Amino acid sequence: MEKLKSWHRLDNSGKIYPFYLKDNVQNLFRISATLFDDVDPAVLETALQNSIKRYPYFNVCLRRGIFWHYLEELDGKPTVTPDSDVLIKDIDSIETYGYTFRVSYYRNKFSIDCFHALCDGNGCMEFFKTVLYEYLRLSGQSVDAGDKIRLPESEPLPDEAEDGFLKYAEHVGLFKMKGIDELRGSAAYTFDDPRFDFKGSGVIEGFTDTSALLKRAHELNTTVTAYIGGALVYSIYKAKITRREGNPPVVLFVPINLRKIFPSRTLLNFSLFSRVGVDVNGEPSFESMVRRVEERLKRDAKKDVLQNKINVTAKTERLFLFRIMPLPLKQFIFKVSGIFFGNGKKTMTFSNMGVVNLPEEMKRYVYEISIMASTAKTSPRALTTVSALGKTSFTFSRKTCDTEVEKEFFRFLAADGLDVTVRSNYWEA
Amino acid sequence: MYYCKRCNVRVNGTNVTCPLCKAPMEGVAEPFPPYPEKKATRSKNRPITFTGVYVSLATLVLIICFALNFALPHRYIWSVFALILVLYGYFTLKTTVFYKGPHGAKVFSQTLCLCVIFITAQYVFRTGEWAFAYAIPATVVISLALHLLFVGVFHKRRGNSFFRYMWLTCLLGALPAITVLAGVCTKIILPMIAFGISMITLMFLIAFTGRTIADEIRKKSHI
Repeated sequence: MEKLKSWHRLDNSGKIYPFYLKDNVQNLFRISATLFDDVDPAVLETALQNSIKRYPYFNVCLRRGIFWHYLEELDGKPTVTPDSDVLIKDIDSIETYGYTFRVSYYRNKFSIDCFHALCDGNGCMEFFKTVLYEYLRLSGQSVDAGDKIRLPESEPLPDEAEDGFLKYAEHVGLFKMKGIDELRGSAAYTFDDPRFDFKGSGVIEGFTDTSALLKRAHELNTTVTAYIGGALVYSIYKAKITRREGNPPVVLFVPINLRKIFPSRTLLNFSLFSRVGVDVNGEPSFESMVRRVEERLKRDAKKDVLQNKINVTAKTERLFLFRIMPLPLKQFIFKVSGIFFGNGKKTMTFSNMGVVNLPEEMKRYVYEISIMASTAKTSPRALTTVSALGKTSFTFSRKTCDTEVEKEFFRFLAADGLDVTVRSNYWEA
Repeated sequence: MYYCKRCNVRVNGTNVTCPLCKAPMEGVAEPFPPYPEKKATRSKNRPITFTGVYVSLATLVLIICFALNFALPHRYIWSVFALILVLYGYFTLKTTVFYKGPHGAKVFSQTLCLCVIFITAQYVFRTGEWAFAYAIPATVVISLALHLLFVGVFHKRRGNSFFRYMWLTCLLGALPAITVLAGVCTKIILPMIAFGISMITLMFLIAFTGRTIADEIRKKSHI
């Protein structure tokens, strides 16, 4: 008789992502570390298999139920594969033996591609750091994890798998809820450039010095996120907006890490989006765009605003009628709601992961860290940034052949006094 | 490392053109590209698939069948059976040939499809009660035997999934018996044998895999 496999529900936010799988849309993100030495795949695989024991909620596969998707424990061991020329390509659960993440390597770089239903970038970053630490340790390097890394041999904590939304959601009547309008939004400028005829994403990554970036943001009396957001909107304006009037606003979807406002140690999804709309009519200046981004982010990061959004998100899942609806019907409703709440209502996603702290001893072996998000045809461009090891990475992933926005963005940073290094997979060539 | 004068950025990699402005750059190439090199052939988003070809051909065949059936003098609407066969072919491609899931699911889907075909054939050609009396009971018994065989072969790897589909096949075994009780089928021997085998198997499954199935039901139907 086989032992019963444990299973668990997807967290509140994670439940949304599998609904779009039917339309071949996988919301993935990739965290990569470039080392000074070439990656040894055998050691990496052992490091991964040691680390997964510490993260039982990652040792799962996605299954379909009658009413919801769920995660089921896996017996197998995750493996590592050579990186594909198609960056951040869809995860084939047959190739990954059911896992909803994939670990790959290319020369001195290894990456984890993770399906968003499993966790958000912060949760995956913790797992990534453990794999990185274990890899360096098994490679014979003397590294001290300090208190910045969850060690593979330590016990998983129960609150690492808590559903932050359900923990903090307040019981509010359906008709008394605030914040539904916030989720709906209005029409936004969208990229109508030709898409690639073939699979895969065009990727252009840029790196700059974190302290110089911080200094420049402080000179403008703003935050790094607002500075980058402003630069991004300005680049879109310069590259794409041809008319002086009658343009829909450029709308950025900026994820807000809720752990900072609602204390939680969860590794599952616990973030919400802020809809940052910037008017691009007339002749707006870069400074005005930065102010607008900053103002919107400040407003949306207020505890009461986020509380309302958490209530709305949790309430949707708790609605009895919705819960007893069969999965295909839910899938249809999500597809329709995507038209009203998502597609056509945003220009692009911009995600700033913030600063990743590695123990001092590990910094000697790691050259750089970057993060990348997948894109869909309906939302063809995304920018993700992360600061680590004194460098800030800007990764543009796109489904369009055109690279004008990226050109304007990096040219702007360089013209603003930052030392920029870029690289590309030349997917458009 | 390369340097692009126009964009004022340094560029990693081996490509001599700037990724931003596409202009030639100054400097020297790095020993290897920063990403895996692009393969010569790239798969299209919408390649011509076997299923696509099948659907196109099947549609053509069906149009011809329906046209011939109604154009010529006919005793039966045999084109309905042709439609069922074409659908059977499609489901076989989707749920058996190209399906990467458990073998138990493949066996069950074939059993179910064959039962539907037998019932359709019986009613379209008005040929007595052979489907309920012989074909479906025999299919269910063979299917259960196949399940048991595969459980023996793949038990360690995919045991749970076999038990899950075996349950469903056992329930299908009750169908001929129901038709006998309802008076649709007058031949009772084979339907009752199939029902008996199905119920005995079901009892064994309840006894030995009850917890597994209860857990499966909990997982699958949690709200």
